[in-house]
Amino acid sequence: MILKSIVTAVAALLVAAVLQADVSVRIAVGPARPDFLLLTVVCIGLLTSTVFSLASGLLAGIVMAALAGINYGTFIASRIAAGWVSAQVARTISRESLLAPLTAMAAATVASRVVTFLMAPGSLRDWAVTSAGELLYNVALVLPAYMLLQPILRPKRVREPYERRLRRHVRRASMR
Amino acid sequence: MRTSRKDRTSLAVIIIVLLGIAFTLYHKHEAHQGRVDRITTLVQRFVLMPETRAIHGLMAPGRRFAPFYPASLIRENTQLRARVAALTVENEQLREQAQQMEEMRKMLMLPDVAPSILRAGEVIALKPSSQRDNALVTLGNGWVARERDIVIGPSGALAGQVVRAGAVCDVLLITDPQSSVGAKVVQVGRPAPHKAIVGIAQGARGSSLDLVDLPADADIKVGDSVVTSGMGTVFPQDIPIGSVTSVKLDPARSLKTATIETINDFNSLRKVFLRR
Repeated sequence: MILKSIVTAVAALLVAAVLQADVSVRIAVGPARPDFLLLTVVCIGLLTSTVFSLASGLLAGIVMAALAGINYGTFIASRIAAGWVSAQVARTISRESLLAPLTAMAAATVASRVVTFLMAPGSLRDWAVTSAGELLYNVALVLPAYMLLQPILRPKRVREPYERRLRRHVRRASMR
Repeated sequence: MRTSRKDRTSLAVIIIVLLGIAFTLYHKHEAHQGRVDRITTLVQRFVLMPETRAIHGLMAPGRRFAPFYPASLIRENTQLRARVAALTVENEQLREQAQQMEEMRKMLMLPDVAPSILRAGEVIALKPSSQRDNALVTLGNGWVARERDIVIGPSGALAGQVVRAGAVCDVLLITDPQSSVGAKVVQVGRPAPHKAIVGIAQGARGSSLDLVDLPADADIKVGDSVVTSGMGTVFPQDIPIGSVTSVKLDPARSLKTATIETINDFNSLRKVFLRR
């Protein structure tokens, strides 16, 4: 199960890397553009454990730094922070609720952007405009991504029919 | 003594954070030595390059279904074919002229001029981060780009320069605020002025540049062309950049600033040429 999760998470991050490299800029609306790697980190963070989400944040940070060619520490720190934030949201809001991915995505984007600004400060206006655009785009895309990854990373347990469970319970009770 | 689940999680968190710090320090050390770190090379060459190429390859068969394309695309294709034919003829004429020029240079015993080499490259990542306007470009046939190689878009206009060499090179696009290019204005529909109007074209994100430090009396109008001035050591002169879309006068500094719309579409670059 852990191996399956690792393979799925790595594959999801690789697909996200290609989307980030090739698609992100093409679907940009003004300064608003999605961050596919952050999106994937948040989904992994929600659907797996804290360690898993931090590790995926580290991997996403390295890939993003390799793509951008600058601010290596900033990218790694901001993605790890995003992974941690999404894992914390998963502990407070039920994963079954649609509110969880939306809240986690918003919180992770804000955390990641704040870390980026603190570590590599620039024009406050540009930062605010880019952050707002990224936030909107990420929140809009998180639900489809979450629904795509949920069946693989955290499949829902199929509940047995009530009668069968009752029969088994009676059988066990009679054996005692 | 058994460790609790919480302790193990904390330990894993510390290890991940330390790994992040270690990678950053390793990258900084390698950059200080003028090298690209192995992890970045690994990610670019063995993860991004094959994946992007595979996706481009998968998308290629779809392009053959021309009847399903919109009419505007078919019209554009026809226009481009006509333009290629016209340029082929023009190219032949220029070749002849170059040959004549070469013969004349020999007759006048002038020194040989090394022709610039043009190499095609494929863009595997375009503006991946909102913090910087860059592109990762890979060259075929085992060619390796060098720092300060000039990058030209498919339309022949300036796209940027190589800032990190290698089989997968990092190109700083001219739209990045860190980029500045010596530029001059070419008046359209008016006689050329006695003094060239030169300034510095600075990146302004998106697909525009700001041509700054222009004299207040400079005769610039919307629609004028902007080309490289050749001042500085990186860009040779007369490479097209774009056209003027607006002009502003700063009365305090007595200087004009023009906004330039680039010829290249920096949101859809796929193929580029590297000029050495």
